Amino acid sequence: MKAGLRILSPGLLSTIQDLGRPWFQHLGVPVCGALDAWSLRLGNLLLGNDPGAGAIEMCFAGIDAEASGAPVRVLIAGPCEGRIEGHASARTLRPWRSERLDVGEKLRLGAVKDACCAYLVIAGGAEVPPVLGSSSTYTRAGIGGPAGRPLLAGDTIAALAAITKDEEVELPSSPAEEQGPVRVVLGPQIDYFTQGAVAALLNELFTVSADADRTGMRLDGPRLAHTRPADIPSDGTVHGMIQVPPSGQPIILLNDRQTTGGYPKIATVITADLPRIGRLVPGRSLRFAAVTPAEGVRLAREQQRRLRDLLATARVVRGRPLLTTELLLSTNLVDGVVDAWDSNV
Amino acid sequence: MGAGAVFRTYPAGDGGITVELGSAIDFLTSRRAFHLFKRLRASPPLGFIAALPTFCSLTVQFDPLVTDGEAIGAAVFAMAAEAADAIEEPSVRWRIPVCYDLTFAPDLEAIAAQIGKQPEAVAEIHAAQLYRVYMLGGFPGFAFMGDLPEALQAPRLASPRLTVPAGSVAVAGRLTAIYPAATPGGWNLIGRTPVRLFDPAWEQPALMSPGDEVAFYSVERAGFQSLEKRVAAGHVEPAEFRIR
Repeated sequence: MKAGLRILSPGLLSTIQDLGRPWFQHLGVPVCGALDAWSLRLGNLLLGNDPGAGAIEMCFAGIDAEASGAPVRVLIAGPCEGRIEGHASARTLRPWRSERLDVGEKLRLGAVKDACCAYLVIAGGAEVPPVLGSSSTYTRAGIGGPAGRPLLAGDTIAALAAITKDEEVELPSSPAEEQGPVRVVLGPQIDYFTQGAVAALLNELFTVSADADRTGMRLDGPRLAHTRPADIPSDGTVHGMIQVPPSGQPIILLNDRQTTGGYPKIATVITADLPRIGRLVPGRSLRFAAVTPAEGVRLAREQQRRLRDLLATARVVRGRPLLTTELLLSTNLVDGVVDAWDSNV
Repeated sequence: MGAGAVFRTYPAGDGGITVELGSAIDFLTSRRAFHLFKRLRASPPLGFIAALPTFCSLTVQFDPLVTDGEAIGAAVFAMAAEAADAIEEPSVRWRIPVCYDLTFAPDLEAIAAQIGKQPEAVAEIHAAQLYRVYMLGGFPGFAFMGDLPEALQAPRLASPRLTVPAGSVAVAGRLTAIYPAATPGGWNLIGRTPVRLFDPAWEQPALMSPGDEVAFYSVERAGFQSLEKRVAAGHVEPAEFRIR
């Protein structure tokens, strides 16, 4: 039977996400994909998955799930933890340390702490049939995921590979949170904004408002004034673009953003800081700092090196043996002999 | 300066550039953007991820781990310089049935009042024009078509509707479009069509492509409903609405 996780409680908003589908934007199809692609990739690589394998993105609240079919190895990539109700006893599942769930064992995850999302990564990757090249969920158009929608109780997410080892993997400590301002490249429509607006963007404090979702987040703070009507012929959007409608209230565009937009864009968050903004929650404050595109490229490459360095610190630890003491004790005696390797596991 | 000459290029973050080919909604410019888009896809530079052709620009997205805006910009400039002057004749024409019944067209009377005519006249004027697709965007399969005759040009609604019915035929400014699904919408609704605009299972997931010609024709409620049933039953192929 196939290894899988049967969802008992889907939390608040849990969706299957991978690195998205950028290839159909010219048809109006948003990229979607993980809000925090860095954590997704790190979690996947730790489990030996393709870095872009699909996982469960849990927003604000973790899920409850039960292993079904065959043992499943999971890892939480992000600030979330929980309990495993095992056959013998309960054990803790902390972030960045893999654990094997045997069939029937239940996972109960708590809230995501101080961040918008965390990923439940499955060894082998989540087996979800791709739509237009990706399993990422776009609920608005019913694309991706198990059925074009967020997870519901009763869904079973299969794992693409079976478990053969009892070893677990862990990072010695959770990855450090990035500090300092969010870096942006000014433009493309910088000339639609007053000097005061640009100065406000780069000097003032902004706060994520309650009006935030996978499409984008509105920021509270100074209004950014335009030099001319805030209306442009629709042009293409990229992840992290900060668009400013007539109201002057900036909106950072995220993964499910519309592919094109008719509002001027004052600046665009750099690639290295996209995972950081994906983790922001309403009420969190931020500042912006301008960098050149070349500096952004340098920072993106530096971040990739840091990911590799972090992976190099991962430790393999001996997990629970595949044949447990409990299972041995429960095996029926046959002619007074117990064969330790005779099992139906 | 070749016909595909580039106006200006702006960085769109560190993983994108916006190539501006004009400054206003202009059909010839949108064709240039689409041609450049096709050329990039046919010979993608190292690190190229995707491109979006729009009314007068092309946004190019790339991987900053392997390339940068300068290299991509140079590749785009070279392709634009090679552009032929002739814009080829359109190859595809669609004929889309629309029911302009008032129950499907909550803004039809307002538009009619604006030009001092009856709602039926608005429907006639809308259906008499041959439109061309400028670009797709905003939602899977949403095609921006133009140009509307001046009489039908009205601004978007002051307050967008939280949801418009799927298949709603709409107008705003010089453009007309069909909402592919029940989404929020700020355009004026003047009719409805049962034709599907998007299906990931199709070989080409979107019905329309930039440059396509589109003609609308009026059908009565009964015709609309019978086609709607056939579409829902999966008995309708996109080719049924293609006339060239």
